Amino acid sequence: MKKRTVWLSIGMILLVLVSCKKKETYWDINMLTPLVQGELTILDMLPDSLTEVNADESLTLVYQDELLSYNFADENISIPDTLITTFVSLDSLSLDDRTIVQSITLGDVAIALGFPVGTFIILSNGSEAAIDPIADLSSGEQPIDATSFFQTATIQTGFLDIKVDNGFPIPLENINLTIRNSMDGATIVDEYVAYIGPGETFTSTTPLDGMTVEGNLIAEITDFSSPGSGGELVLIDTSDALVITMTAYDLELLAATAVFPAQDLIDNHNNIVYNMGGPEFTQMKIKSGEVTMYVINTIQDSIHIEYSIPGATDQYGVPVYINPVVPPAPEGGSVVYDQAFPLDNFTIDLRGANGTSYNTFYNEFKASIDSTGNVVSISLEDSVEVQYGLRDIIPSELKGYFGQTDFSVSDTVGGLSFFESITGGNLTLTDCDVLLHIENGVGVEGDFTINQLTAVNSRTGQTVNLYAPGIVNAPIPVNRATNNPFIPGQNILELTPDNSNILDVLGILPDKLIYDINMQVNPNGNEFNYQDFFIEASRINFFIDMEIPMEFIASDLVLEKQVETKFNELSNREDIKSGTFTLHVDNGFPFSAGIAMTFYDRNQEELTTVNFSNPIAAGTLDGECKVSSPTYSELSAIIDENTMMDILRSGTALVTATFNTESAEGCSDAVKIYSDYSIDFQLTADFTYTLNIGN
Amino acid sequence: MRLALLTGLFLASFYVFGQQPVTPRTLNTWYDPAFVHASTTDSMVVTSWGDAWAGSNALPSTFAYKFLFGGEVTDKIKEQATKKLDPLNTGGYDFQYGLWYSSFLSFMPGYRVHVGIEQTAHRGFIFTDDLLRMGLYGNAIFADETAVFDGSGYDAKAYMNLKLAVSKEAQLGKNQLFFSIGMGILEGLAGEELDISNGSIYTAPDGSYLDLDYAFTYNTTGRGANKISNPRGWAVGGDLSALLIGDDNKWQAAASISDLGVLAWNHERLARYAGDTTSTYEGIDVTDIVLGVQDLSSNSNSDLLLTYIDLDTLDGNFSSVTPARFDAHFSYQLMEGTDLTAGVTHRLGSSFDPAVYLIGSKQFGPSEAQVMLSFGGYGGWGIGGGYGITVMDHYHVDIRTPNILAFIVPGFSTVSGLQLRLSAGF
Repeated sequence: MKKRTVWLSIGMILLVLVSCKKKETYWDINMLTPLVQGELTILDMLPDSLTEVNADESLTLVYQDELLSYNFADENISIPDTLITTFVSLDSLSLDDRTIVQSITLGDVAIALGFPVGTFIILSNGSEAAIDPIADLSSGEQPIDATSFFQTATIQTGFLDIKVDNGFPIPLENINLTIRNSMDGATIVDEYVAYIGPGETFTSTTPLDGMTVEGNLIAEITDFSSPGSGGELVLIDTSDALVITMTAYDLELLAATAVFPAQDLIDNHNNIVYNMGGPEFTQMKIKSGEVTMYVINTIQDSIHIEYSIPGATDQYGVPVYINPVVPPAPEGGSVVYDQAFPLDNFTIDLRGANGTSYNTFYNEFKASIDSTGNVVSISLEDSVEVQYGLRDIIPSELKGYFGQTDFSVSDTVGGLSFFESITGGNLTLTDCDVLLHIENGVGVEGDFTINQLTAVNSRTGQTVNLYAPGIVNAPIPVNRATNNPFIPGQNILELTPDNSNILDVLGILPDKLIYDINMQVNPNGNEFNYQDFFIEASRINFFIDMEIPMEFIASDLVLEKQVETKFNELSNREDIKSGTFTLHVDNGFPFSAGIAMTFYDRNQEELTTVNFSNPIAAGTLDGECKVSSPTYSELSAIIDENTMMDILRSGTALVTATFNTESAEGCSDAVKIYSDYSIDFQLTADFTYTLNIGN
Repeated sequence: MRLALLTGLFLASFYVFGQQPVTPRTLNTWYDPAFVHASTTDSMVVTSWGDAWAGSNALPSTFAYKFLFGGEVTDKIKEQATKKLDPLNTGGYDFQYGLWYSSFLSFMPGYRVHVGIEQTAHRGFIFTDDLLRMGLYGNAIFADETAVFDGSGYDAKAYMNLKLAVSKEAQLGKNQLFFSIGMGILEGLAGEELDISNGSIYTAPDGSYLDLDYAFTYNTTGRGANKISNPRGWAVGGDLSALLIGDDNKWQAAASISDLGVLAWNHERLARYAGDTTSTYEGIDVTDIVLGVQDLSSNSNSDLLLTYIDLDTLDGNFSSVTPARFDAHFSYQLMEGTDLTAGVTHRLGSSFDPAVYLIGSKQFGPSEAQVMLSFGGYGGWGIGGGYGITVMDHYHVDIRTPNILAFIVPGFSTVSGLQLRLSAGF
């Protein structure tokens, strides 16, 4: 019961709380307040860099802009890659000369003879005895171990000398000597010797071309005989031997499994010639680029590579030299080596090995194996595939003869930014002085021709071609740049109302210029004997310099400026209601101005336009044709609640001002603008605002 | 704030485990520490209560209702609000609600211990007639005139109070005396103080400039929701009360003071400003914006405001005296079931002036009716009344207002309030 009471009470409280949610408290108030104010002079409106105050305080508009900045090297010079690919089977594979000596002693023969003659010889060892004739003897198989030489070798060319020294005390006859592989039994040497007297030597040479020789050989005198000592007593010494000396030499191999001696596999010395299509360069400094080395090795031995460009040196005079080692290939496989070495800031002599060429650099490439003491298998079918050379070379400096070429540049530029805000009306200027600067930053002689220079007002579609005899459509020589110190050559052309239609050109208030310019390079050929140059700073530039006295007639001249209002981001903006906005202006400029503001939402959809009731009155010229005191104007705009809602939804506004100059009797129609002219403005508002103090 | 208001207005008070309490005969509250802490014969008492009172010397209740419950302040309400203005005016409102528990101390015969939690919201205003008129109508009506704000200001405090008190019943001669002493830990939830020592605005006829002349200080603990979990200051408060009942139950006298303390605000969002300058405002200089040097969003509104009103930022924290409540009254039984009470109540440290009151009450069986007359406080006269009834022996309903005219003719009444109590006892 007590709990029920408690919960009943709590429930009643919650019911009351939920049903009595408080609303916001608000009311309307009328505000009368200044909003914004400011003071503008012509010097405020234009950057210092655009204005020049003359001695009489009048102003001159000075303007410089770059019409063209042409990188001659980027546009005309391209350094191709010089990658050389070589697929190299081994030119030769050699082994050192080697000699093997094999002996057959008299004792060995006696043992082979057996009883009774062999027994007699052995028993007579150390004594003199007469040896009877011996027939049909054999030495038996005598193993020859050449495995320290090679395990197997297929010989392309080579020779094996056999020398037989008869150390027996008796002559030998009808000797058949064979040497064969122990495994496949192939015969390497099969020699017949008719007679060798005691102490005499027999020599023969066997070509080994095309033979496959094993490291384990068997030598055998399959048959020999002796007439004996002829009854004479001879000293019997069983250690006397028939010595067979085998010497292999001049071995060029097809393949071998052996311990190879150090030897060069590839040795190339090349002049690499660039095809530059006309220019003849003698020196190049590299801004960026690299030497690349790509090797596929099937040889089971390390490949030692040496690559050098003797004529390419860094800033310390150290030439390009790289010597990587390519690891040995696995049996039946290959290894790939791929590396790049930067050449930034290297300077390359492009005169070749003999120093008299151009567009040429000399390089050396060598690949070799080194003696490691290890047994490896190599054949002439093994190969090394190599790609090496210079890649992605971008020069920072070039020297030589740049050839005779013509090139044309045409483009449309929007450089005349101070005219961009003028969207309509007429502006009549009284004078101007325009300078065209042509600047040649390349070390070549050049003739420039301005084929066309057209002013464009893209808002109205008006175009005017510049007409200037002797300047347009006429060759204009511009000297080459000089180096150390670097000084560009230049030529300055002056356009005045007297020598051109420049006032007409500017009168359309151009926001764009179209140009078409031609340059002829080295019109007189290689007159500077390969001393043309290009450095990183080298550009061909066109500048326009304008000086326009601010004395003009403006007729319904419309200036538009887009400003960000961001009213749509204001919090509680719906609290601002209708009102009257009043612009108070003290105008010290001799022109009137009508003001309108068009507001746009975030999608640039037009919301509403606010026009002030009347234009800002022009300042009145005094007897000296100068505004001495400003003219006050009061402009008002009544904004109802719907218009205010549209304004407060806006993100941007386009402010449009329409100007008309107003002269005075005794003064020129064109008014002069002075540096001390100013306009004071203040915007006040009498509006309704909903004050919301929340809940 | 809305929660405090509505809770204060409609919160039911209920009693369990004991008999119905003596109805306190104070002007503006069902809650009086002298009664809460008074002894009863019950071993255990749980009390919940809520109070609300708003008033002004000049602003009609219709105006107060718009502030309290929302809606548009219409031109008619503005006219009523500005009709009775004095050169310097006051206004304010207070809401309080809480929950108490008390029981005898078994180891100290005759003593009771009381534990309570309360929440208080207070706001007081002092304003010149020009300030109110400018606030309601804007400055356009002051074209070519100077609006003066000298001496205006306001203060606002909200805090939670955790209290502990001890009471003792004693005999004073033949009379029965209950007295109590307590202390509380106050958790400051929000605080704001504005003191305009002098201030004026002249509006040019065409609005082309405003002449500003002002000297003021403004302290705030920062805007944003008040959260118990995010205290912005602390204080230690004290309560003291006494109730003396005559031996024949013909009379009783009571006096109490509660929430006496100083709140020290120290929140990280605390800010203090001072302005003391004379300036002419002619609009924000937008020369750079027109020239494109800056865009419109370069400066926030607050930056621009600081620039033009030349505010100084003050260092250090600030402290506020709590709006301590003081009440004293005397009741006398004219005849059986009929009492007359006279008293005075006050809120220290606020724009509240001491209010005097007279209450007549009459028992009709299970019902009791009250009629009251008051003057003072946030301003103005009040003619109020109350009615209470016990139904089904266990449920007690009370409703009371300090000024019945606020409901009948709110446009002509400047004091308003509503107090409700629902209770159940077993």
